[in-house]
Amino acid sequence: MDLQKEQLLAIRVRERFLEELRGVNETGARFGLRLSEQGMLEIAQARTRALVDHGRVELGESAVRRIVDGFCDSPYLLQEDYEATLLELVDAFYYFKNECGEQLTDDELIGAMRERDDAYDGSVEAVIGTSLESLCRARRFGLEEEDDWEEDDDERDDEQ
Amino acid sequence: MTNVTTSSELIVLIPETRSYSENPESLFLLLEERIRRYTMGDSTSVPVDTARRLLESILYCLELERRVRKPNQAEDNIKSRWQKGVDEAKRIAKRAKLLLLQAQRTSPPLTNTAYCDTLTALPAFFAGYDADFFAQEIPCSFDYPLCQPVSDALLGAEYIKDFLRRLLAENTLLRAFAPETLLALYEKYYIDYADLLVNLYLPAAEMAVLCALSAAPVCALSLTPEQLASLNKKLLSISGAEALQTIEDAAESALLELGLSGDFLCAYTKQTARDLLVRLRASDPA
Repeated sequence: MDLQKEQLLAIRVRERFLEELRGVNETGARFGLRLSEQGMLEIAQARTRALVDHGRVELGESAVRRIVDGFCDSPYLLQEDYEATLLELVDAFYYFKNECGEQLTDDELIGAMRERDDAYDGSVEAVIGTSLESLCRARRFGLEEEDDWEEDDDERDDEQ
Repeated sequence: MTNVTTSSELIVLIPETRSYSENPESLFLLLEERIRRYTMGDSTSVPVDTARRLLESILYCLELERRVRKPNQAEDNIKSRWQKGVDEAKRIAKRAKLLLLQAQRTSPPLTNTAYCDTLTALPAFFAGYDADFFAQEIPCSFDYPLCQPVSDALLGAEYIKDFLRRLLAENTLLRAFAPETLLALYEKYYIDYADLLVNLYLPAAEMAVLCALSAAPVCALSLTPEQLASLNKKLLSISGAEALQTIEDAAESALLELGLSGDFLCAYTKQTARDLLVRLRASDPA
């Protein structure tokens, strides 16, 4: 694969992803949420970084669209935090995806993340700071208040 | 790492991708399609290792198709070529399964633990082989050492088919001898032929060649120390080319005397004889 072809392919792939994000904006617009062009580029970078960091490959349709679909109707999601929240959720999504050993589908995982988010009044820290076990337990058996999710956060840091 | 692009991810996954220069985008799209099929839409991403295995399978099937394509046949698009490669891998797996059945029916008169374990393990290959996604993989583990091992360049069903072809050739020769003859030979050759990880064909083939060389009955598989010393002397006293010809002729006449034929068996036994000659000449102190 020569360098020129490689670069051409990379540009087309990136363009396709940005196009997907523009489509995401159409969904978000119904809830007053919009990604700026700069925000889209940041999300594209964050997604690539998350995929590399968590050792995953994603070609074609990305999970970002599904994440937006899963969270855009959250009453806690506001335009001013939208891009920052999405960046956090994208990274957490790929982390949990690896953690679950391919046992959860994208939609199941996003559903579990959303339930956690709702239970903690839209606290994205509660979603990214929890463990996969807590996330799944809450999804299966209903959520019990956890006072110690900060500890889970520490555990996650240790694992990384 | 933020600058890692998707196409260079592919190259990191498998450096051989770099040699696939004809149309990287078509390869990329095919991999994308295979990942989608593999996850059945449940997941948009897969671990790097899974993507690497899927990509290796695509490249292997394309290579398989290239090898079986007729010289004057026009090249199809990548998807059709990959599909033909998958079909070819499945055809080879079917052929290998027939060889396994044949091997199970034609065991040698004496076997050992490694041999039996291997024949027990091989059916797992056919149960687990997945040409659509992982055509290059060998989903079973076996350890019987062949006299002439299969090339590491072979993968998937091709490897298993070649392994069984070689095993059958070895079985054919061993079945020409009585169990007690083989037992006597193994007891001299190995400390514990039954439990050690040793090849059963090698001692029989070598002794058969040496018997033919000294005009002793091949089916007896036995030579006195004096006969062996004399043979050694004879092989070392002539030129390398002459010795090679002599030992190859002996391999051929041993097979003839045992009433065995077949190009592959003949070539296999001749190679074993050539290896024996190399060892004999290497052990010559002069």
